[in-house]
Amino acid sequence: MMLIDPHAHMISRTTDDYAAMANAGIVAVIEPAFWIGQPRTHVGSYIDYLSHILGFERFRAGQFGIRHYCAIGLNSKEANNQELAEQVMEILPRFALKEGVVAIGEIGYDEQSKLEDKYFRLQLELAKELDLPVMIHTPHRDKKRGTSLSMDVCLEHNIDPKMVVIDHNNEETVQETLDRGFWAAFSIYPGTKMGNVRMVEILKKYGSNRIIVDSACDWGKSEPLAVAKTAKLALQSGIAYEDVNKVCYQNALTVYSQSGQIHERDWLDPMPIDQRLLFEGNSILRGGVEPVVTDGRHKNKLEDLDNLKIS
Amino acid sequence: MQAKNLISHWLQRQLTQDMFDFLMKQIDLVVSSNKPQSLYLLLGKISRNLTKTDLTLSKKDFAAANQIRTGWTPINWTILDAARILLLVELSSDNPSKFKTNFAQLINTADLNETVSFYRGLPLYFDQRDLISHAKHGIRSNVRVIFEAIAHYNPFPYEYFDTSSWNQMILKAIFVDSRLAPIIGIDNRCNEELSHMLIDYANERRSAHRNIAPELWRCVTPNDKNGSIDILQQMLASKNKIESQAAALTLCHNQSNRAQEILSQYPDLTQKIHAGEITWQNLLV
Repeated sequence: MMLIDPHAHMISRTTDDYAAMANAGIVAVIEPAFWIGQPRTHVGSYIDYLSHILGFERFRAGQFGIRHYCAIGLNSKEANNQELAEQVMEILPRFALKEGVVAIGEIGYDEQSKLEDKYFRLQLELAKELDLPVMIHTPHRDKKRGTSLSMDVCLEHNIDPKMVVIDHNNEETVQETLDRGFWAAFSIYPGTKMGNVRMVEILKKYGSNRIIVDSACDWGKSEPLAVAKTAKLALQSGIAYEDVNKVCYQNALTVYSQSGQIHERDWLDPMPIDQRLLFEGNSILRGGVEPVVTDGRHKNKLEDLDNLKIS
Repeated sequence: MQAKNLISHWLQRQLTQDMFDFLMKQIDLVVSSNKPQSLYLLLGKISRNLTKTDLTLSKKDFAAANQIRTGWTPINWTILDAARILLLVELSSDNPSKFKTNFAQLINTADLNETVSFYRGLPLYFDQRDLISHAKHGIRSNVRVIFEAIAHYNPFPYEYFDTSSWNQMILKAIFVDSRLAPIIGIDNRCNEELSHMLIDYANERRSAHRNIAPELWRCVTPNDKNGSIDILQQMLASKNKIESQAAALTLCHNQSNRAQEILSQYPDLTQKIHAGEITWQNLLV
């Protein structure tokens, strides 16, 4: 089974993670723009960061046979720094139409402040103008209310729910997200967000329609193999192959391919230009090591995974 | 004819008429409007609307390019490269003094493919002297295709890099497993310092029991003092054809007695070199 991790902050992860992800069958990752552990103090940092996730990180992932895409946006935390926020909003359009940008994101609320609200709405309008999907970060504090509010605001701005992924759902938010027509993503993140044993229960209850699994792996103690481990656990627990395929691969592809920037052929049959750019300039793998995958085909190594449970 | 006319001609051949007209119109608008946002939007439209295929160029096209601008060699150029470079050529000819700033902003926010395009176009922009620091910056990249956008099939380094930067580029090429043969002017700027650095590097690799890129020797003037002739002598005896040929090519150009004495033991190799059968250009083909 091919897998996609549609929410992974690879800038914070090592090449060991890339190698492990590739080995476990992950063919593509989506890296949403976010904060980087401590506050940025200058728009220049933001510019360089966006440049990095658009450029070098795509290349780095390519060395391991993984196709890398990103979402561009002003995150909710740094929306509260108005001076920074204004400058970031000004440069966002420069990046939003670059190759590989599959969504505006991850945007939304952190504290549900006025400033967060202002920039959330502005970016929804930008997404509408550019006809891009939206990846929404739902708050970790006061989540239920914040998730509802996020959806209210999307609908207020006439955003089609089919273009919006509401991420970091849990047992309390999933019903409403699905009922209101949005995509419901779940971040399998140990200790704080969703665990995969719980995720399997959610799949049993709600099925696979419009549900997406991701890792949201980042600087903290997180699990880049979360999608793979969840897939294997789900299969072992009797969830149908087709449903696992949907939540761990197809649904992410469906929603984000609305941007026109991600296609299955990118990893099944990469264009020669992409081969030259991403897979052949192997300076990360020094010492004569060849890129792991040169024919675009991935071998499923789910059976090699152990220690599956993420809680 | 100017570069912009030739590139437009190539694009017209491969784009639909509608797409071509749209592109030309948008380029005109961007150049005349002078608004940064419109430039970025057009770059985005180029990325999203033009197909990711190579330009189909004939021998005549290459000859025409070289005629307009000596050394301009659009090998492996894509349709996207052509469109982006055309845009930048128009921008730079419209306002050469402002172009330096424009270029800096574009490079700072470019994605991988755009970066390659922008660097490939260096020999065509106005004023090229203002862009030397950008080129030097670009060859520091570890992304090989970006490095090669400046180093390969591009007359810019040969014409504008000082000796130190030229030497760094050659060393970097070896480091990132890139080829030396496609570097324009590779044989015409050999210098003692470069030779020194490459021999040091060869010795470093030898001590670590690692292979030495055979092309490295192309820019080396071997001598008795630094162990280079010893290494070359070993290479001559190697079962690896590429190694022995590289060593022979290097020693052939060296007039010292020792070099000639060693070479005399390999008349077959020497003869093939004199006959033009073994050259640096076809060494790794």
